[in-house]
Amino acid sequence: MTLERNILLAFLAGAALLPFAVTDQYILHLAIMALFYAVLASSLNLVVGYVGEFSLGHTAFLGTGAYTAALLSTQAGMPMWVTIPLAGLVSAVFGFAIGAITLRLQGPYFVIVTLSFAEVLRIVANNWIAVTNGPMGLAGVGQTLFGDVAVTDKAGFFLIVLGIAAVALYLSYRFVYSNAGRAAVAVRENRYVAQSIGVDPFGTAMQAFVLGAFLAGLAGGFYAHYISFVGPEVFRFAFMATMIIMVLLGGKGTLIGPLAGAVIVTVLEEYLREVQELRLTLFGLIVMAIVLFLPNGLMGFIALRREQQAAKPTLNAAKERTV
Amino acid sequence: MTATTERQPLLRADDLTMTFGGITAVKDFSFHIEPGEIVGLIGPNGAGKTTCFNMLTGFYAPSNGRVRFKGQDITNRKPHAIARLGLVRSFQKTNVMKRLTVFENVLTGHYMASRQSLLATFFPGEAVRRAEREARESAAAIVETMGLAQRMNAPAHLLSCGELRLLEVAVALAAKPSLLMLDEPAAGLNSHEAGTFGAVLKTLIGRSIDALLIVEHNMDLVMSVSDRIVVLNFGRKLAEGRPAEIIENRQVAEAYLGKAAA
Amino acid sequence: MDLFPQFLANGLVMGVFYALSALGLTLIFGLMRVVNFAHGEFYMLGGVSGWFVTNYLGLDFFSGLIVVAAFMAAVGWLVDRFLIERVRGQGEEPGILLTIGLSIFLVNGTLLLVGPAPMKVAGAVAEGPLFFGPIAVTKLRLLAVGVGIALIVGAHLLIRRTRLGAAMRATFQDPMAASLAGIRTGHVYAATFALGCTLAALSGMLLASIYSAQASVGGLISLKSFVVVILGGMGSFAGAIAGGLLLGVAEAMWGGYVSMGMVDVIGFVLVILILLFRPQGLFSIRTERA
Ligand SMILES: Nc1ncnc2c1ncn2[C@@H]1O[C@H](COP(=O)(O)OP(=O)(O)OP(=O)(O)O)[C@@H](O)[C@H]1O
Ligand SMILES: [Mg+2]
Repeated sequence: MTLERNILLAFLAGAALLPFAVTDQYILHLAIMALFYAVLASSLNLVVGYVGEFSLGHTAFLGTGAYTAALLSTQAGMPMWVTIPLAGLVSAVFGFAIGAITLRLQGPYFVIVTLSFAEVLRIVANNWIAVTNGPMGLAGVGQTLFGDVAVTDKAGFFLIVLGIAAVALYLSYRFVYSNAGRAAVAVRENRYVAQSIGVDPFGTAMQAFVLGAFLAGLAGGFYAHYISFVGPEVFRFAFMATMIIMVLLGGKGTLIGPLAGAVIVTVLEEYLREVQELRLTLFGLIVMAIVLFLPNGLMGFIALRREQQAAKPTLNAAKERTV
Repeated sequence: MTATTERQPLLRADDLTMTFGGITAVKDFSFHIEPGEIVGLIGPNGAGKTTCFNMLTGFYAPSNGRVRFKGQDITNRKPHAIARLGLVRSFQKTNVMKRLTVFENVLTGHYMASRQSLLATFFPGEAVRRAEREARESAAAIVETMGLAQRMNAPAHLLSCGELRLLEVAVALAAKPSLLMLDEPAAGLNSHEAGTFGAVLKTLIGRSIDALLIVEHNMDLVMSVSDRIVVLNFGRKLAEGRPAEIIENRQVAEAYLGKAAA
Repeated sequence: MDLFPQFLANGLVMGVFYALSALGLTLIFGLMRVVNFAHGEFYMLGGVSGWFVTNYLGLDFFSGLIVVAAFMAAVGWLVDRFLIERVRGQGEEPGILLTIGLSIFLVNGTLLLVGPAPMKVAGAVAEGPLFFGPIAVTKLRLLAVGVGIALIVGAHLLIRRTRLGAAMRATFQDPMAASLAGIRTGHVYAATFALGCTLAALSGMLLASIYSAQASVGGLISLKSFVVVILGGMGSFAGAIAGGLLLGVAEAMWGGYVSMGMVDVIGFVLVILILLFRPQGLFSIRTERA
């Protein structure tokens, strides 16, 4: 617990120094994307790791956030400090509505219905031209932060996304290590025990789900301003695939896992940028390999090693006792 | 005036009936538990004991009959809502959170005592920190009571069969129930361990819990801890009385003890 | 109002296609409890390999269909032996993740090999409509419906009337007892998976002769198949057919009378409604399991 917290703090502190140490715009862009994905992966992890159900519809919240921010900015000229939090809130409301339906379902039904919601939103975004401008999307999303302060360079955007990541990690950390987080783990590990100690599985899952939607919405709002354009593609499965890999590779159900996954995959993606299909082909292979050989991700692997180390002395102690 | 109208029993079940498709697992079963009592519920395999547990704790909706707990009608309430009133059970098939350590399991059991608002989750104040500290202290104490202190930080999946049963009881105790219901808690314990376990159970009454309902096939244990015993056979109540009376009861011997001896 | 019979006919034709495409999915779920997210990619591979054998090997449509069936059965067998078998008995989640990975791999591997352009599979008969009173249906579609129905009936007979089918049902009901009775359950699982995969691929090739094969079509097919299967009740053969027809007709009516653009929403809305009110699916009044 404290180890995890210290690693997270060190990560954020190190990241805060980056724009002062690096001026290369390309590297800053990579760092921005890594943090953006870190927020997304952490938010998905709240659902996958703490509700214990696999959502394939998390892009619904990313997209809702992105469209919310884009509309508020292009239609009402609102600055980022208003649009991004509102993007999170609107996504959270969507999360509540979608959760009310999907969290009654389990296993494949949950997977498919969450995916259906993302698809419905994509189709709506594509066809409701009056509001979303259809396939053309919303261009020219503003860059003002507040008043007439505009964010003009990558370093500025980096600090904003770092702020969002800090919020995301703080909220996730508080949730995971709270009584509510323990309840969520109880539901994930054993629904019966959870109920018999007074945990409401539905209510607990809803908290994690809505928090995940809120954070994904923040990420979406940021994305809209950073790219300055939002189209129906934000709901596409490609984003979902990337998020899944990050969470699985890093290790679901841990806070550091998705973070590590986001950084690794962003860098990997960049290496393979020229060859989109090859990249995704490899991603597919990686997903299969993780499921078969590293089912708890890198963090799970590390934890297992530490557990084995720790188990050795107790084994000896046990032997001494029996003698 | 009967005793029940003067003093509310802690738990009272009337005419509980449960049918699965064509099978009637429990039929018109009525019984009650007074504060301070340890009640043993026994009966041959398939008699309907676990089904009763499931009806009392909201995991099954009874086909007929009512359950009252602390004067409230709890029939058809959700399991977690019933648990929050202070009725907590363990499961016959061992149910723990396998990947968590012993301590974490028991700490998680303190869920109800540490429930807090969403705001307090994200911005914990002194009250939350105190509740957390108390939960941790209490968890350690319970682990100690159940004799698992040496396994405090072992992941539950490394525990032996007997240790797992003890852990389950520890998790249930962590929920601070007023009525604790244990479904075959001593299965997998050897006779020495079962004896120690029985002694521990008796100390709980009045200290940690108000009353105990125990389902158990280990007759020595049931007979020594229970104040009163209810016998189920083929889903119906066959007999009820003090342990000595039940041992004497011919019908029970035929239905149950005789069969076990054969 | 005059158009109603035509819409209905279009809907029923699409419905048969939907039912056919969903059959492999419901079979694999019903018998193996594997939720196959690579289903649409098997369908896609059927179309693409159909294009390959008819265009490059110069086979006629029906010989091509047989070659594709054999090839995809082998693919399905191998996928089961090397991937699915490793997560058997571990619950649903690893299977879901594994097949999601497989689907990402197959789509993009195919894109890498043949590119995103649509590929036309040479049909068995010439284009051109037939008229039944006010209703027009192209010959190609009529043939496809015929072949589709033949495949559905064939699969049903295979499961109900053959020794392999009996072994499949036995294994599904109680793997332990089946293996004690001398059934080699490993082979049965692989054969079931191969059968589901082949059915998906054959429907893919059949429909590619009407529309065209495309590397990226799998996602949509998977989704539609899931819709069909949930409408009818997961794992139910009859349910898949009913669900397919329902979806086909609902889409045709919506597209005909309301709006063309949002037609794809219908299925999802139906699924969401159904899971809200009848989580077991519309038609699963304890329907036979495949
Ligand atoms: N969910 C269920 N569906 C169908 N039948 C059930 C179900 N639960 C229990 N039964 C049946 O009800 C009867 C009573 O079972 P129950 O588990 O309550 O017995 P028990 O007294 O706990 O037995 P044991 O001592 O073996 O634990 C049995 O015949 C059992 O098969
Ligand atoms: Mg029992």
